[in-house]
Amino acid sequence: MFRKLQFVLLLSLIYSSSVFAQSRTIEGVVSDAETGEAIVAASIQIEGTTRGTTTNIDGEYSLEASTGDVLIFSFLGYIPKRVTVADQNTIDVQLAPDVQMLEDVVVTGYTTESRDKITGSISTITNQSLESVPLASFDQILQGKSPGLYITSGSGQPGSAATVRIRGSASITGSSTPLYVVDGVPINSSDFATLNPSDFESVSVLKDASATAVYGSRGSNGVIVVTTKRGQSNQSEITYSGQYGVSTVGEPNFDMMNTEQKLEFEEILRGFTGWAISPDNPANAGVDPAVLEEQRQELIAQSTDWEDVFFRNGITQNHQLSFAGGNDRTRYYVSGSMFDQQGVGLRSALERYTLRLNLDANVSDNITVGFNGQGGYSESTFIESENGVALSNPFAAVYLANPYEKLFDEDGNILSGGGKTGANAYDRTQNDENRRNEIKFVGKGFINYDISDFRFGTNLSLDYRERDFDRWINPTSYAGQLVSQGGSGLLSKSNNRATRIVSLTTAEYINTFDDIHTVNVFLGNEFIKQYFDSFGYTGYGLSDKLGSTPASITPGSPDNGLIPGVGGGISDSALWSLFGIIDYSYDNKYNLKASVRRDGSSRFGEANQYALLWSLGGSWVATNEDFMSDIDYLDRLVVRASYGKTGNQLGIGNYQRVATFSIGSYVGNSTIVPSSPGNDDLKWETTKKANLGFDFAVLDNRVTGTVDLYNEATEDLFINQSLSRTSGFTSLEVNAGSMRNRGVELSLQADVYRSTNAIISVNGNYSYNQNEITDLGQVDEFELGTSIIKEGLPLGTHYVVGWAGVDPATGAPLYYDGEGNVTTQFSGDFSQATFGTWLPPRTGGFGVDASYKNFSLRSQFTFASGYTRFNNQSFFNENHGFAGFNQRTVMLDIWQEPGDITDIQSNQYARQFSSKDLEDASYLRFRNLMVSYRIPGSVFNNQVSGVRLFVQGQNLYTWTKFTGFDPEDSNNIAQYEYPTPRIFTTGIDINF
Amino acid sequence: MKIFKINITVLVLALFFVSCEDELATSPYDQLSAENAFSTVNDIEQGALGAYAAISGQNIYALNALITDNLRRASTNTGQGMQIFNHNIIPGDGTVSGLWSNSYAIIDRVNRVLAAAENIEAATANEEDILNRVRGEMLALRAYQHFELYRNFADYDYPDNAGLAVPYMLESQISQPARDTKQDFFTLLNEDLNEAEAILEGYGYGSGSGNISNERLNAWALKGLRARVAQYTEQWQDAIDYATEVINNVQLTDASTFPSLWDDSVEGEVIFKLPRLTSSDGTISIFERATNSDVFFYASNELTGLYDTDNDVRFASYFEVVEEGFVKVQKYNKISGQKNVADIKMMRVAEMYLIRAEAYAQDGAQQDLGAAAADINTLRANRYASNAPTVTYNSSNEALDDIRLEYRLELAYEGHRYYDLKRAGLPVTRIEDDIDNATASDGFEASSPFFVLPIPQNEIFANDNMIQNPGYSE
Repeated sequence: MFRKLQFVLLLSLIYSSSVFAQSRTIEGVVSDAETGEAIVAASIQIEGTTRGTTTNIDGEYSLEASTGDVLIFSFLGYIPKRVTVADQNTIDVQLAPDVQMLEDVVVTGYTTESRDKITGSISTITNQSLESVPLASFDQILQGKSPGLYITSGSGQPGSAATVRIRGSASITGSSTPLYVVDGVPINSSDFATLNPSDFESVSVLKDASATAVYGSRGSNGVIVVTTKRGQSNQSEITYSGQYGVSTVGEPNFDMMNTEQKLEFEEILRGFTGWAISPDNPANAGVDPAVLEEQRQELIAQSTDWEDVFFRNGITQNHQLSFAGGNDRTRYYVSGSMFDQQGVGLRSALERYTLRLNLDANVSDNITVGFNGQGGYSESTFIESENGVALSNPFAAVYLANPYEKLFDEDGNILSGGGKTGANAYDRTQNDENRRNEIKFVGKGFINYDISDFRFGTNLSLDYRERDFDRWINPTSYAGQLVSQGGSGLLSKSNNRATRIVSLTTAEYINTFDDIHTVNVFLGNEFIKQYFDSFGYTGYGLSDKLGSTPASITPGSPDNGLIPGVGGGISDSALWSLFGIIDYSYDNKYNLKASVRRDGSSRFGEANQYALLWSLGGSWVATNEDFMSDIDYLDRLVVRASYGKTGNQLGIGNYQRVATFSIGSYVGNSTIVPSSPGNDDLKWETTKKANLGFDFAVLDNRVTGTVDLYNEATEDLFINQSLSRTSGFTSLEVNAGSMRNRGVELSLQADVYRSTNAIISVNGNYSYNQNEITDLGQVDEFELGTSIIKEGLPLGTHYVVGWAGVDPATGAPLYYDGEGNVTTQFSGDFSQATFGTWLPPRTGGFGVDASYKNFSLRSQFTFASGYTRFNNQSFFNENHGFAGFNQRTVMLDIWQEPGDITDIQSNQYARQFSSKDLEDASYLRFRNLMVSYRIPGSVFNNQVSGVRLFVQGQNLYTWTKFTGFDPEDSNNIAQYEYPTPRIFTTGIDINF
Repeated sequence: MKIFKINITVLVLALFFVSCEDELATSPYDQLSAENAFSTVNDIEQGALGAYAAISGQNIYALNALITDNLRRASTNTGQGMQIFNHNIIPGDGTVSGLWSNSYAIIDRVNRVLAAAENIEAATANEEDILNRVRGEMLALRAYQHFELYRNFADYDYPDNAGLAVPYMLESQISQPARDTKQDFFTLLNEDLNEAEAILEGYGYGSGSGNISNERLNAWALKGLRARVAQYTEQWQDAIDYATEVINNVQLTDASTFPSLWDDSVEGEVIFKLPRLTSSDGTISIFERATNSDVFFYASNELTGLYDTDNDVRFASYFEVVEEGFVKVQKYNKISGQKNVADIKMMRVAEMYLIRAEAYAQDGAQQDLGAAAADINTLRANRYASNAPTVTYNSSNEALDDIRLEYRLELAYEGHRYYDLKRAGLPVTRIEDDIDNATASDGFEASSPFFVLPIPQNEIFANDNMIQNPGYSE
């Protein structure tokens, strides 16, 4: 404060001659000091005031100022410049690029590093490619944007979390989910529905040991580090963003029978309605064929289009207002948002409200305090039995309900009842409730103290999530009558809270010696405590006079059988870590990084409580060598190499080390029963990661790219070792077995055309990951239903009997026995592991970005190939055993007489689940197209500084042979999962 | 300002050296650790209840019903029970592995309770009594469940002392035990039975003082078990003696009260049962779905044709005729509003009459065809509302055939049929009327490997010392 006063005093002394200064219009152009090109949207601020402006598309500005005012010209990536207004009316300014800034600072979690000094494998996704995508869960937005990052959405329910894998799966029974960190706060994976991705500035994907080992026992699966937006000193920006649009269900890749076809099919099968009204049916011998035809026509006339009944066009709208700015000492970013999205399935929706405050202040010359935090609330409503093979799941019912089934009677009542597949499912969408309210808070308070070359910091952060689930089965609905306790609906409410508190204390030392030796030492002491508790009840015998309220529950008694169910539980875990990072850089040519972390986990017994995890990495900036400077076309070449050891402790219980007993109940009496065998020797899964990478830029930086090769060997995998049942347990969690992921990742960006007015650039990334289980300990293989975990094969390998077609002579289905011979016998013993895996080895994305004057276009495609998935839908919808439900039209090709060449077996033989139900799930998806137009502020007399209008489409088209709803999914089998919708929106961003 | 700065440095440095080691010693909130699970007599009592709670009971019902000749498939069956019904008996079958692991899970609980009880000091005479009784019950239950394993997974060739029974587990441990020979198995079984009998003597079921409920293993259930073991091992005199003890102490329920056994309003002759009060305690969903009216299996026409539908009260208690040829099994569906909920009867006095009759009918010193006929006549007199038939036997075979018929009628769907055919060396045969187009098997020979269930795949897998039964792939 004192210094500021001195400064003002000084200024007033120098300019005492212009005491009577008058304000006038100052104009000028802001340009790049090196290239001379105009800088668009550069900020001009009058020091000590809130007055300011920004440059237009031509770099021009004008503002009112007086002689003696100090103008601060700034733009991200340039060194700010201060100019004192004298008597001139024109001030042109050249800003020099801030080399340090332009060198792409990469946030690596605990620290930030300049792109050139990075030794590890880190991909960064900036907010330009995140913003405006109409998806609630930010992980879904990352799809196809980074090599080595494979994301599958799994469900089209708005806000549902995706499955995210970095460099393949590194665990069999444990978790392969990466660690998520937002502004230094580790957050729960899977609950992103209540976070606002528009607040994100950038996302870093940490992959190799050098990048992840500092996260120790949480690093094996990779780390996704999110940095939220912050205000800049001496700027003020207010932004409104809004969009509105519609979601639709995509075209299915198969054809269902209509009423005529279904009746014909039933006639062929000699069963069901089609046979009952068939003239060929001996039972109809005495019936006038005209009467039968009339009945047939009546059924055709009453046909229901179940897609029309169950699917809808959902409305999406999204509004956000943000304020970013600051002065010399304080910077702020404040935002509020509202997101409302209806799913394409009836009753499913997400409504979300979020608030964010990022604030930091220099309370003295060397003390900075701050707070980053987001609070959010969301309300989700769900369909029934989402992603389940169940008749109540509307995405199953829509294809299982017969086309001749009626939905309403003459009075408009839903025709529900036994066997009414379509009406019963529809009844549930109209009368039942399935809701989740979520409160989420992620926040961090911090204080940093700088003294000479040292910085000390401490912070406390909190990730808190509370969820309330409400489930109501209306007593008057058909489903309500089927509730086995009382036959009069049920009401279930539950609540769970997940709390994570992190305390982190750090010390950092940065110094440069002799101008060429840069040293950075970072030490940390981190303690993480997680706490989870839940409670819930289910009541029965609801009154039909009241709605969805606990008051409608009939109190239970031993006589009425309506005893409510009550449950809940508590668990906790703790992780205490000490870690250190040393960075050393020599002359911007050679960079070394070493990290070590000692993690102690409450999940493991005393013998294995602590793990020491570490990494070493180095990089060589070849283009900074003198001998390379002659190569004109090569602008940048960096070679990186790293090796290290990371850990994983996800996917096992908090108390797996302890042998436990639990309190049970036996017809109303308490019991004490053994519940887990416990394994005090349990320890971390560890992964040894090796990485070799190259970064390059050629042709005047027009083409840039990265190549990474990696080999990750995971050991001590958590395996459920099968126990002799004589032990009273079926399995014991042990560390056995190992697995390897190795692969190559490429990414490339190229400006194929660049002129003053236009840029066309292409980008692409490609990843190949080869997974192999190298050891399983006790055994060589174990079967998991239709999968097999086997040494020498990749994770996710299918294990099923081979389909050999249909015998034209008999219509019998043919299979391959274990030896490759064709047989009519079906036996699980014939199962083979030769049908590949459901985890795609080849994945990637590409896109074209173009801009011309104020227009710009952004497109993105993603793909995955080399994998197969089961289609359980075709097993049900191409199966004469389920002919009571609707079938696909291909079933009309069913074998009927000797000589029929068909792939549909005779109904005299049971339909078995075989390799026939495996389909190539490779796909290419046109994931996003956005066209936008920017209106300069001058059009609005600089009342606003800019307006951007856009239209976009999400999931526009998918090229695939897969006949399920969606080839891209996080499991091995398609089973009526909520399909990913197509979303079209139009929107506007206004900057004030 | 200066002080503030120094304070911050001190604070930060202090935080740096904070050790959180103690915080890593977490313990579960929702579970008990092994050390404090059993510390009082009441805990032991609850542990014993936990062992009873593990008994499925229903699994024996299902196996015996599905694999034999008492059911026929309904068109609304979409695969329920069809593996076993179609005699697709393989080591990987879930029903088979369920039988194996359920018994051993119960045995493990028993062994934990027995071991924990050793370390409990009884404070009062009453506590002493409880500890003693629980020990008797647990030994009896250990024998009971080992014998269930024997019934399913061993052949009944007797005496074949070197033949393989199953591992007899005397303590809770993670190990890979080999199968005991029948000789060793029955030695251990009899030790348990002897000790249990010595303790449980005096804890009969019924209204007498000191008696315990029929929901637990009481003296009569133990003696009934001994009669059963004697029957399976062809110790006919023992079978007669033990059955007689039960018969003399617990009254056979008469024809007028018999229907009340099935809606659980009367305990009557049931000497051991598993209570099932509501559907959350477990349902018996072998024949029909609990949540709607889908029928999985009707009673076989062969079986329903054997009853005197006019006079035999069992017919109305066990069945409901839907239409000609379609008879629903309603034996466990008698409580209104609680579909498929019924106590699981593990042992009834009627079985004792049948055991004794069979023992009297077998060749040997104990043979007494008159006594055999008398037992069957007594049983029928208590099952017919009127016109109960009476028999006399002229040969052992005639007697045994008639006794087997009565076995089938009396204990239908109660977990006996498969074992009875196996003991008698008879095949499973289904009549034409009971085979629809989705039924793949009409039976199997008496010599079929299917009369000894395969050791489950997952046991073979986890236990290097386990030997598979003949006729099944390793």
